[in-house]
Amino acid sequence: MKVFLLKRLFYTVLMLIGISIITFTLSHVVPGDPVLTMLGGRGTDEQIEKMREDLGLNKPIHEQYFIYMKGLINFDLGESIRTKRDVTADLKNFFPATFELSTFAIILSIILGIPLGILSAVKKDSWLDQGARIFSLLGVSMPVFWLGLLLMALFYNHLHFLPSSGRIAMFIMPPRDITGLYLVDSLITGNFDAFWSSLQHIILPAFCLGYLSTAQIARMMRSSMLEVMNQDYIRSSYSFGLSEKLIIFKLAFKNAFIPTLTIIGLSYGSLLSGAVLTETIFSWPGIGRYVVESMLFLDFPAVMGVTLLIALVYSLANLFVDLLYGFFDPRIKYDEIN
Amino acid sequence: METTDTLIDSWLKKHESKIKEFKYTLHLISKSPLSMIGAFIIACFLLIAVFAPFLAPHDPYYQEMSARLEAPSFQHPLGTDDMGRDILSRIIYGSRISVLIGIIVVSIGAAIGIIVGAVSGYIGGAGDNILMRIADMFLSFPPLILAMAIAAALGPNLRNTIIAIALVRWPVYARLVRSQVLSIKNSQFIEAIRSMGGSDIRILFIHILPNCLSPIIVRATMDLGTVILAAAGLSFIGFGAQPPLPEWGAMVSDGRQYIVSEWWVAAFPGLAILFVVVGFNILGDGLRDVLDPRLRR
Repeated sequence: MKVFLLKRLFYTVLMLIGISIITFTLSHVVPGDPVLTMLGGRGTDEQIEKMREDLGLNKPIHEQYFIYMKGLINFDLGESIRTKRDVTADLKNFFPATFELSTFAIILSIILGIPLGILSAVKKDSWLDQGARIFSLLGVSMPVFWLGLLLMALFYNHLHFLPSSGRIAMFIMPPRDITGLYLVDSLITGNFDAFWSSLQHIILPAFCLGYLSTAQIARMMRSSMLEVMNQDYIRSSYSFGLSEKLIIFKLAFKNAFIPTLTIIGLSYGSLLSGAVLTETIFSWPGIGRYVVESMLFLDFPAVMGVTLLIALVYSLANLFVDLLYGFFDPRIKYDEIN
Repeated sequence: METTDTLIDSWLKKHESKIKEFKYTLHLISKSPLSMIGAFIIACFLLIAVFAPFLAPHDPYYQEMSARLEAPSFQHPLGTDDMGRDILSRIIYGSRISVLIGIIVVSIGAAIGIIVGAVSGYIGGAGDNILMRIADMFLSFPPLILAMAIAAALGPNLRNTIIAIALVRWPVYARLVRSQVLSIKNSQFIEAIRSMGGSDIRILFIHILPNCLSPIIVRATMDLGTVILAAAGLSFIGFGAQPPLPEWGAMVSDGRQYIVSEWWVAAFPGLAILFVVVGFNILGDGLRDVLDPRLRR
């Protein structure tokens, strides 16, 4: 277990270094000059030269990289060219919103996807199965940004049912900042108006963002459930006269759940980066929108910060899933897996 | 004349079993309703892309300022956009962009992935480890953000969209091919070929890779949908194809501000994306059911 964990953490660090090298290289082949952008497109040669020196842009690229990495160890990601603040501070500001949205979305898709997959498998080829399969097929094929627009037009503009953008209504004070997650903070402080408003705000973007993972979870759950239900031990259990409920939920589900768990881990990572589109449509103030705006400004310190953060969360989520395997299937021994 | 006939005959004879297998596969595909619906959608999509100039009722770039944002009518079956361009014609021409992106990206991604995966799986050891770690790195890179960064760095246009998405997609093929190669390389027929003096390159490319073909085909079919979706998403946020190109994602983005009253501007291009991606996904699902030896017979 310890060996496994250390090995995985070591690979995570290696991976982050690799990702930082790729992004860093990309940021330095940019044809546009960030210094010129910062000076508003004009400036004397001296001004430009001085700014370069201040930003360390006149040093060779590998030296600049080492300076960046030295900062990274102290959680210093440099200064954003666009907002003129520390990237770390910006991330602290915007990340909770994305974390809240994607966590809510993954919980929603687990709650929807798993029962849907199980039902679909147990009642194979019924109309319910067909319906669930069409729902999943649309989910894996849906252009999220288009679905978001349609849902917004429907629920906000036509039905006047749900709000269209932001995290909370304009006239309601956000809850006191404890975790940065409005839903959690408002519950802790007992501020139910804020809770209700943020719940209303999160539901559409979370559904939109989570539809793909709901579909993926349902599909995986269905196919692994079908596979397990065909195995000998399930047939024997039936012949022993065990109740169907017991067989499905206790004997079959536990084994069928492991491949689904993998999918959940992978989707959680892709939710974080998929949030880029959803956040743009619903004006959700998270790192997705932050990274799009930074990108348009060629603000690469900010882009690097977001990329590294997402990659870190992605690999931690997958590590967490790997550790959960052992809980669901005690036969798995960690130190034997590569 | 006679010699070509005998050549064909001998070729047919030599590959008799393979041809039989292929015919059987075609037969199975035609028996699977799922694959047929998917194949039908994709065939329509390809035909529309090829014959776009004949099918489109209007010039996709012609701006008729007196006919801005017109609702669907006989003249403009899917309405007009904010520049007075015919949406149906733009969707028809846009299919060409999607076909182009899909095919080029999947070819590049599959080519890189197959080579890396095959070499990695075949050589094993430290080389395998290094190549797979690189693939893992690209896999854990947030795909949309990498594509955006590449597009931002190299300049947002169609070519860079293709490069960006291909860079994100190849590890998927590398992992797939590697696992296939690993499972085949120790089988007895490979050992037999090696004992007869077959070189590594011959074994890998003539004997192992053709046996990995069906999962690659399934993967690539589904991937075409994923790639078209990704390209549309990139264009939607402004990092892909640039106006006035009739790219579907960009068209949805154009219609964004009119979604409440002039819904058709954004609704129809999005529907086109959905249709095509659904087509590739069910074709892929159907092919998997047919080609997967575990599910077959």
